[in-house]
Amino acid sequence: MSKKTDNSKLIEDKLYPLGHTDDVEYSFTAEKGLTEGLVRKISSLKKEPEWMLEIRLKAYKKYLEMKMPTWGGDLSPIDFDDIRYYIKPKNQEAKTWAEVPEAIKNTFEKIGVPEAERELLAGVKSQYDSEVVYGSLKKALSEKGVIFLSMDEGLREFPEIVREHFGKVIPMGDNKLAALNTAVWSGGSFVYVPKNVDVGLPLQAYFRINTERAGQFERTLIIAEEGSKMHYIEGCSAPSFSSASLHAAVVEIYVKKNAKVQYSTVQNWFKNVYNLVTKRARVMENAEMRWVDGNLGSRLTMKYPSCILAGRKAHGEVLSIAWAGEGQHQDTGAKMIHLAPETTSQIISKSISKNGGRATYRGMVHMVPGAWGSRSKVVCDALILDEKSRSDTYPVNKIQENDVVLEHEATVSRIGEEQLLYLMSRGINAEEASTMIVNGFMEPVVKEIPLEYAVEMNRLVGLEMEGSVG
Amino acid sequence: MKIQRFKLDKPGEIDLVIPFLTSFEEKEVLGIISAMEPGEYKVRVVADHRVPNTFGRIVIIGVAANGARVTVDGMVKIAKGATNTDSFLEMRILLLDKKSSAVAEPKLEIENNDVKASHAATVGKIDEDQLFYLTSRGIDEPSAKILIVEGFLKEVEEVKY
Repeated sequence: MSKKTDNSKLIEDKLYPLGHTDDVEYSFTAEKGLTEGLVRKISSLKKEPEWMLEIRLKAYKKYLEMKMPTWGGDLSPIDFDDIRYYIKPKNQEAKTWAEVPEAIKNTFEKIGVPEAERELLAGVKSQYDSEVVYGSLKKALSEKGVIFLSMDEGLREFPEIVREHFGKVIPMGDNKLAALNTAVWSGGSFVYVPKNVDVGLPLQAYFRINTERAGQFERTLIIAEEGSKMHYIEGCSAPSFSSASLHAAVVEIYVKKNAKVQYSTVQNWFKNVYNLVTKRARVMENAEMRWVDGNLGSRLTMKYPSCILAGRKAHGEVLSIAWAGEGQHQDTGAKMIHLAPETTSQIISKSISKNGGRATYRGMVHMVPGAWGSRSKVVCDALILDEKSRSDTYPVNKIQENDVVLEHEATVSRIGEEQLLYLMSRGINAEEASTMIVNGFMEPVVKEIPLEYAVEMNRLVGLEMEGSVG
Repeated sequence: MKIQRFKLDKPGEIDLVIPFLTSFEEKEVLGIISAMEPGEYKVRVVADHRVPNTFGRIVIIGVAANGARVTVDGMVKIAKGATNTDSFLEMRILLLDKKSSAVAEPKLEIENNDVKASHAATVGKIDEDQLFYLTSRGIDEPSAKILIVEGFLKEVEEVKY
């Protein structure tokens, strides 16, 4: 109960403007805890093919066998028996905006999904709890042959494509949470971009957790065929809860020959969410994959977007920002696996810790024998804003080929006195000056994310920096 | 400044913890790994800053050939009260052939904000430009490589204050 008081206090203090709960009717809410029966029930409620049920059951067994990772953040407060693994909103997927239930519209209003964005951006897909309740596909998209559906619809309409690609980049045994996701997944997006098609507008999805203790296990599969180009944006926000929520997503991406994919995330979960996500892309010859990752919210995030550079001249990039405030631990990073010759990768990671927060960079660059001519550059910069906070860097660079270049650098510092002095001598007060410096520090990554998110991010920095200079 | 040197030239392990327990201490570690025969070469170095106003430098350079496997595990640790710490960790490894490999783990654990802490790591082969320069002056390739490696190691061997 004490936690609840904390949360409501946060909301009263307007520290978390998105902290609100709506009353949505749920047509099926699973009992707390996970059993084989529940896994079967989820599959049958979704009327899934037999092979998917088999995958789920196998994954459930794997999940029971595997051990929880102990190397990252502290996962011990999560009570896995106290989580609802499946919630199905009463309303089926709405076809038009008018059909979207009022309560849900209100939520979008409060988050501030702009009207213009709904109209303009192609196919706004929003996940409300475990199922996509609102989805609109612009005509132009379908004319190009681009498929943008919820994962459940994708499985129903294109079972063959799903079967061929599901769980191949991230096998169910990859880690315990990937196994859990494979067993109970629900929602997420299914994207298929045909050969040589440039999607143009970014595809957007808005994820939210709503019911207290509702675990959200979305599953996203993106397939970019040869020579295609696409940008997927995922934004997260969750209302306030009195107890910890779990979010364990899996994102698999295929970037085929000469294709280009960017996947951008702005994660702003409420500060009691455990965000444990596995994201990986398989990048083929001459293709490019870029992860842009902003982690602002959650109690603990463990997320390391990866690129498997499997084709010659494949390129992988991760640009990430982590913000660790009071009571938060951001354990984030990146993985680049160079399997083919002349592959290149770049990791830029920026973290800020404040008010007792902890920001951790954990990353890996691996170049296997035969990956000659490969290059990788890793830059990690951390800013610690006060003496209570903490920053760690744990990189592993494993090089098994000599004809390569690997560069890694990291710095940890505070806001420079001389930078502050410079700005203040020009009549800017200490608080504004600090905000400006922090925004400048984040700029190289922020400029890569879409404008509306960049604005949100800058506002958040302003909000968090309020009254921080003493 | 106190300088501590080590050289690992056959398979084995070196485990060094450099404690900073007195204010205004300045310590430097210069390490060389010459891994020219097959086997595991492991170096673990920790700069452990516990008190305010200390200065640390760790530089480890290594060459690996003939199937040597080099692991450098470095850590800069700065405790909560260790304000005004300045610490730098550097590791550079040259891989001379396809049979050899290296793992570089430069880690940082920083628990206060009044610090300057950084690390840098590079792993790669002999610079083509340097090799070209020497061979274009009539030095055969094997000798040129030896010269470059010697020069690379000398950067640390010959540091004097």
